[in-house]
Amino acid sequence: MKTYLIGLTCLVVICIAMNANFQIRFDSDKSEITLGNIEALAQGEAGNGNCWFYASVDCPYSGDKVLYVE
Amino acid sequence: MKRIYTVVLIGLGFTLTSCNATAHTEAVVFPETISLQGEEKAIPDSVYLRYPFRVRLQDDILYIMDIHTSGYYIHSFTQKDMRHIASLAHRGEAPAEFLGTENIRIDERGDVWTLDANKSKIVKLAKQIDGQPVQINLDKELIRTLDFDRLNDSVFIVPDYTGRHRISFVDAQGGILKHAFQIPSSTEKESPIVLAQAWRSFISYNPNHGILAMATQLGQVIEIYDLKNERVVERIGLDEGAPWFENRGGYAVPTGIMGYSDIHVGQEHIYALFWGTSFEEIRKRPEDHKEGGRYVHVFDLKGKPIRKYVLDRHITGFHIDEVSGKMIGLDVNSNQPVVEYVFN
Repeated sequence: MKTYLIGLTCLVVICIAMNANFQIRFDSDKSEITLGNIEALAQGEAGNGNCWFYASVDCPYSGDKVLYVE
Repeated sequence: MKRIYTVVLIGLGFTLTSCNATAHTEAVVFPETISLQGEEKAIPDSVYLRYPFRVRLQDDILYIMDIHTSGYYIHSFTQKDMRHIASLAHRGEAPAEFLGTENIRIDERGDVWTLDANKSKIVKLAKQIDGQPVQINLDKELIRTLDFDRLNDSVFIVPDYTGRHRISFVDAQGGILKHAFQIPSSTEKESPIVLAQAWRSFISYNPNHGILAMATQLGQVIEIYDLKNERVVERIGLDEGAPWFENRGGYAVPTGIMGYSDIHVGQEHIYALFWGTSFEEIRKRPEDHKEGGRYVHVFDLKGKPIRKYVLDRHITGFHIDEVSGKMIGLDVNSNQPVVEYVFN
């Protein structure tokens, strides 16, 4: 019983560590990048949603090309 | 008791380890993957490209479209040394000006065509500054036409937001000649306009063999149509790659991934530029997001996956030259956005 609990704890710790490692590598890749020529905006409001940042997705509310829609 | 703990332990192990591996599910498997290194082509002149999105090469002249310009939407350069030649399609509300451009098409005579979705018109741009452009006002039945290609000298192919048909054919006066095909969604109860927004696609047509291909921006679906025989050739990725969206007040809000952003139908293959970034990731950290895709998916004309190119940087649009085996890409994240790849 005790052995299994120790084993279970070890497995959880290993999995958390693996996940953290994955997250750190992912984050460090992203830290080197910039959004370059894109500027922030908050337009395309249509009562129930917004579109954010100039990019290439068509804002369904306004027709602007944006980064994402909410 | 021990057996129960063993089962729980193994199950937990599988669950936790599999969480790390499911960042994205590929809707298509390619038999070959090739990495490509790009070569930057510096623009020496002081032409500022804010968000270059389309590039075309014709007779050694490179045309680049900037969708977030404050001046001109299209600039031409000499391919050899990237010298600036001219700027076309001025932003503005005057009759001859543009409120946006969606794509560039160049005809056999070297004339440059573009589409202004906000003004609902297709325009042949004047070669001279004092020349008059040819403007084609699109039929009012079409809602927000977001891409176009030339079927022949006098007919254009356009998708739009009505959602009742996949594409429409319009004549040189902008009138609708006919419609063809349907949005391949299994969500039948959804509003057609919302479906059309979610299935917003980029198109490319090759008149030599009559193949039209469409690539979803908000999913991972490639549709291939044989326009000469008016038949569906293949729809790739329909099961796993269909766009994810929510209908919020009659608008399609994308909730899945940024899929394809450019497509080219060549003589033997179809090339599609794939991003694969989830909107969840983009929303969480927009300042760290890199615009563009690093994957060029290659299919044969029947839709069979051939290979995947993995690029050394993210690009938003491309020009493919199958004969020379070269690709010109646009890296919006760089101050020198023009990048050349050799793939043959």
